Parts: sequence; structure tokens; C-alpha cells
Amino acid sequence: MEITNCASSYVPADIVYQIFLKLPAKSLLRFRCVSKIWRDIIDGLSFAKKHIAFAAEQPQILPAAVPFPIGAQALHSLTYDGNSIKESDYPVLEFLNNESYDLSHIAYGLLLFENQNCRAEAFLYNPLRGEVLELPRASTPAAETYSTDYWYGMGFNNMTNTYKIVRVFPVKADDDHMSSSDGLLASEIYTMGTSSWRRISSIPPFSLSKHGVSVYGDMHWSTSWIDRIDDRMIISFDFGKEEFIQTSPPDHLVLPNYCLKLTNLRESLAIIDLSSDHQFIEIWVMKDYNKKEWAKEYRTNKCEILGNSLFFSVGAWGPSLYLYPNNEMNDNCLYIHDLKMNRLMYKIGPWRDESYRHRTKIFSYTQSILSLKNFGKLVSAAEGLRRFSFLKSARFIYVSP
Amino acid sequence: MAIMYALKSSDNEIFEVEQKVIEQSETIKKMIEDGAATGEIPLQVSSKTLAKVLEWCKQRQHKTVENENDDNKGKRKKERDEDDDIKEWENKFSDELKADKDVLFDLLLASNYLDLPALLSFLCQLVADMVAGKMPEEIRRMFNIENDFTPEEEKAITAEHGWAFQP
Repeated sequence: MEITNCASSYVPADIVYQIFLKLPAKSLLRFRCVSKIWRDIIDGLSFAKKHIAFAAEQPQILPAAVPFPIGAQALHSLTYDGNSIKESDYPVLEFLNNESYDLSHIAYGLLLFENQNCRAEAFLYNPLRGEVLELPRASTPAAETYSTDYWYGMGFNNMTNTYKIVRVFPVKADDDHMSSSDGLLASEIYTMGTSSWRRISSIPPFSLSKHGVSVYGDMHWSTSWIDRIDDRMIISFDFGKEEFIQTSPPDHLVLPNYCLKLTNLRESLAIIDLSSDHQFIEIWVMKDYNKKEWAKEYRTNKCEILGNSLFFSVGAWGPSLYLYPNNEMNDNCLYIHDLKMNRLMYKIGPWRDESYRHRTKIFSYTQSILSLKNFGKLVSAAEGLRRFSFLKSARFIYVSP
Repeated sequence: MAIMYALKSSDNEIFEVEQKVIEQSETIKKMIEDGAATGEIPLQVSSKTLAKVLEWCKQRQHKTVENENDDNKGKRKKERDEDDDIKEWENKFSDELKADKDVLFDLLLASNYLDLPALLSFLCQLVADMVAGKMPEEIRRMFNIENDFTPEEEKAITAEHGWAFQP
């Protein structure tokens, strides 16, 4: 269609902003070239946060082996539109001979990688933009920390419009910080855009499971099975108050810990109840975060094939669920349960690589226009390759306009 | 008897409109409440655009009144039929606007000025759908924007996300 020049029209920036909110990220990345004003709106911090909330982007999942197998890795994401499953044309990321870096957390369209050999070293990656940002080194000298478990989480503070990262890590006994039931832990916070981590006094009251969920701008973990198998709890990190708090699960919900799966279901915290003695999958959704009110939103028959499975990885995929069972019956496939149709819809796999078995962690991921340039100097492609063996996505390398 | 107001367009055309219809505009509602709306209400909107605004408001008003009068029985089916009717009406409304971009852009400005959030949101979605696949040069022409990048700057910024320029 021929476009005529609308000489009469001058569209003010606030209307342009409203139009941008309804555009897919790919169009926006192209429209950065229109003018400096347009570029600055699209690259701005406040726009990115609003844009991701509009959910114009398709929810994706990223099946990733954790820890990554040594050697070259190319990870593709999957999208499900209610009819079919599609694998991304280009890998979301590639590692060349990765020996160290593990995918630790995904939130706000950003992937957080931590160095398994030195877990205080971490970087962020936005696959949509191809941007890599290294986080500052630890405030605590490396000698003080054991290089074992680290827990990372991302949050957003609405009051100050800032992104923050929290991490919890074990410290040696002579450190002056508080102890938990199974050792000494310390926590620190990094406000994105600043130059260093900052120690905080609050630590989680119980051991956390490795991967938490970002919802409502805060982090939420289920407690680890290490602590007390009979107690099921949710530990949240309030990024406003900068403290760990217990979030009560629904009343009368009795679950062995391994069946309590937390997820972000359409921007609400949800518990997926997969207790093996139940014939049902039940989903509890937090209706009011301030009042901590839960409601049972779904109850659906567990498909026979999933029978008494234990699940390695379960979570929301947009308005659907993905289920990755871990038992003898499982053919190493991933299952999609469509909550709208209320039935098991798809089976993906088996994964070609047997080494994935028992180790595949599925991450939910929604791409975001958020530019890491807002927070500091980016790591160049060459430097990323040299330091992290990190290749970004192939589409940044092979495709030129 | 419905209360009527007279709206005067920027080119001095008078539109007689029911209060309920025009109160959807927060701007005009405020003028009425403040008592500023005596006699004709002058608006910085052309008659051509104002006619479109009123077409939208009347359709919305019609929908609200019908819903209020419904009882629950048979409501679901009726709602479904109505949804189809509204979709059809909106499609026709969109097609007319797509054919005349000057009116579309003027209407966009008018919906902002008159504070009609539903219309503004509808039009933003319409424009977004129209421009999503376009190239920067087409966008500049459409929005009448001057390219303030030097050729070198433009080349560099294009190269940052080269893949986004592929179909």
C-alpha cells in the first residue's frame, strides 16, 4: 500500500508512546532508526517495563541443561500459540566450549548466568538485543565464600523504578553474619546501574530451592527439601524492604515439598500441586499479593501417562503449563497442558541428546526490549567470547541488513 | 427528554449531541460539570473529525444502554451476537480510517484532546497494526518525521539489530 505524506499531522510523543506499547519488539528495534526521539523512547527504562506488561510478545520456554554440558551449546526457545509449537529460527544463545557458565534465572526478558567455578561472577544477557552486561564482582572476598550454592533472584521496585538483583551464598563460620539451620548464609543486593553489591542483614530463614520465580517485582522460592521435608513454605524477597519474608501457602494445602512447584502464571504467583497420590493437577493462584489471598483456579485430571510421575520441571508457559516428568515411564519428553482447553495437548521430544536426561531445566521466558545499556558499559562480542565463551545468538552474527 | 449539547467544530459547524453520548469524553464532561458549557461548546477539532468522534461515541453509548436493559435470560447468546455486530462495526470503522490517513491521525489527536481512552487505545492498536511491518523510511514519511541521524549514525544504529530488518 502506498503511504501518502500526512503533512497535516504531527503526532506528539505521548501518543507515539501509546502506539509503541502495542508494537512487537522486532518492529521497535527497527523503529529506533526513525529519529533520535524515537530511539530514546524505545531504549528508555520506563518504556521497557510497560511494554513487557502489555504482553505483546509470545511467551517462550527455554529448555536448558543445568549445569550446561561441557562443549558447544546452542539453545533454541519454543513458542506455543494454542495450536502448534514452534522452535525459534535462531538459537537464543550459543556457547562455544562452555565450561563454566550456568543459566541461573530469567526475569524481565533477561537471562542471568553464573560462573559455576566462581559463583560470585555473573552476567546478564538480553537475547533480543544481543546485549551482555557483566555484574560487579562480589563485595565479599572470594576466600570467604565456598564456591557451592548461590541463589540469584531479580526484582523490580515500582517506587524507585529500579531493577535489583539479590543473591544468597554460604560464608565461613568466622564471618560475622547470621547462621541458618544448615550453615552460614549471607545476602547481598545489587541495584542495577550502580557499581557494587551491598550486604544486607536479612537472610532466608530456610534453605531455598535453587530456582526461584519473579512475580510482583519480588522473588519467591519454595524451600529446599534439604531443610524439612514435611514443611512446605514459600520464602519471598521483598525488594522494597530488602528483606526475606515467609509467604503463607493456601490454608489446608498439605504438600510434600517436592510437589510444590511455584510459577509465574500470567503475572500472578501460582502453586502447581502435583502430589503423586492425587489424580489431579491443581493450581492455586495468588489473587491479592498484599493480603496473600489464594484461590484454586484449576483442577484437572492428570493424564494417565503422567500417572505417578515425579516432575523434574514444571511451570507456566503463558496461559498453559509445561510438564517435564522424571521417571521410568517418561520417554524423556516434555508435555504441554493447555489450561484453556483443559487437556494435555502436546508431547515434545525426546530430546536428541541423552545427556540432557534428568538435568533439563525448563525456563519460561518472555523477550523484552529492555536495553542493558541503561545499566552500564556492555561487554563486546569479542570480549564475551574470550571471557565467557559466549556467542550470543547466531542472528546477530550471520544476518546483516 | 434527553439533555442536548451543541458542539462547535473548529470550522464552525454545530453538532447537536445528547449529554450521555458526549460525556464519554472526560474533557467535555469536566467542562459541563464546571459549568463552562453554556450554549455552544467550542472544540479544536475539525467537523470531519468530530463527526467520526461522535460516530464512535454513539456506537459505544448504544452498546452500554442495551446491556443495561438486558435481563440475564438469553443474555449470553445476545452478547455473542452483539460482539459479532460490534466487531463488524469496528472493522468498517477501521477500514474507512485506513483509507484516509489524515482523518486517522486527526482522530488520534482528537481522542487524546477529548480524553476518550477507549477510542485512543483502539486507534493506537490500529496504527500499530498498520506500521508493524514497515521500514523506518516509510515511517518517517507517514509520521512526517525528519531523520536527525547522520548517515554514519544511521548505519551504526541499523547494524545493532540487523536481524530486525529482515522480513
